[in-house]
Amino acid sequence: MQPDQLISVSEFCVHHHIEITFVQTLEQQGLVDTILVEQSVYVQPEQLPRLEKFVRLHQDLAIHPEDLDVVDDLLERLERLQSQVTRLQNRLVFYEPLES
Amino acid sequence: MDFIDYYSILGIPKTASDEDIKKAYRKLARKHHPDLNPNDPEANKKFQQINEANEVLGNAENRKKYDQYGKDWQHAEQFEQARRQQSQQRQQSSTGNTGDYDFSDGFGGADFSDFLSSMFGQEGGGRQRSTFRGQDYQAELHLNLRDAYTTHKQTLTVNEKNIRITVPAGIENGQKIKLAGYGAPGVNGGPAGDLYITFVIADDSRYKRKGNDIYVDEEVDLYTALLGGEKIIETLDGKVKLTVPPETQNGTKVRLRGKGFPIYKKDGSFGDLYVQWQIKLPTNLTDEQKDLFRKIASL
Repeated sequence: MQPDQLISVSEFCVHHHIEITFVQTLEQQGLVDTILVEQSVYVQPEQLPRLEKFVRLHQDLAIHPEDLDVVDDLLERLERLQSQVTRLQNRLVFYEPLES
Repeated sequence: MDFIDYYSILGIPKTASDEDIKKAYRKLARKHHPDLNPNDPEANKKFQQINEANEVLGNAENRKKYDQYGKDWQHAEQFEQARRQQSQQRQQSSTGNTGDYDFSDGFGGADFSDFLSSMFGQEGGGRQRSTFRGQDYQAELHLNLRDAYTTHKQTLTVNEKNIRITVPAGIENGQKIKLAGYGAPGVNGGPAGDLYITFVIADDSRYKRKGNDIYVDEEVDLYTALLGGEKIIETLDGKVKLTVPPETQNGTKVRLRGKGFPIYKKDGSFGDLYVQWQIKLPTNLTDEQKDLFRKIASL
């Protein structure tokens, strides 16, 4: 992928008023993937919503970058459980009589 | 436009210190943050209120202005307008921006209350030139079971924009689809976000769905159940004639292959329909009928 199709991490950090080290920490924790092109660091556009979510969690809730992987893990679990609840609710309808 | 009490939103007294405001904001934000409450529009709304309250009370200058005008904020607006006009007259070459506040980050500046914008102005943008993708929107589409049975078109209104979508037959309750590019517009010409639609399918009083199969209870009178006969039943696909074999027991299930729910995005494929016979005993028997039943019982 060409750099013009990628998001420059330094531009992203300027826009969101965060340090480059923030993205580096996320990268080290395996939360986002970065790409090095001619000594500049980029992220793929698909990574942007995820990256922005981490920025919001960090800035709005003062969550330390090192702790974001725990939050991310718990959110993933929450999402899985919500899907499971929906599936079970769909099945429960089958066994419970409808209230008229 | 109603007066918004930012102190009560944060649950703090008017005498609260800056530290108290910060603490209250953090506590409520952790509880209602949209990223921690996915698919919860109430939490999103609440977080916006908390954020707005923090934008005002967390800034000494804004707080002073808010405290000064309080419920008479309309006068503050008039005052601010007059002040802006005077300022513009003095600096005719100025750009006209009235505040340093940037409410466009995070969850969308457009959602902040008119109250806030009327007090402090909301035209502060323009400092960034980078292009960024717009935020994603979440929406719910409510259907009934019969709607979900056929592929059909629906028009959604999201942020005052009508979007016509095709809902494929067989969609499930809780299923989510993504419409790329139908979210918030990007920043400085960046790509728009996506729209996620969650389908909420109401239960049906007659048909019960389990995956792609449908279950239905059908009454059959005692005599047909005993002696056999035919019964016409309604399915989602029209009427079907079924043979009731003699001596059919109560609760017997009959499977009609391919008469169930359409399989999502598999044209022409359907689940099965299960009909469960519910034998209805006769009531208000005449003396003659009772005698006949006694005779049968004694045979």
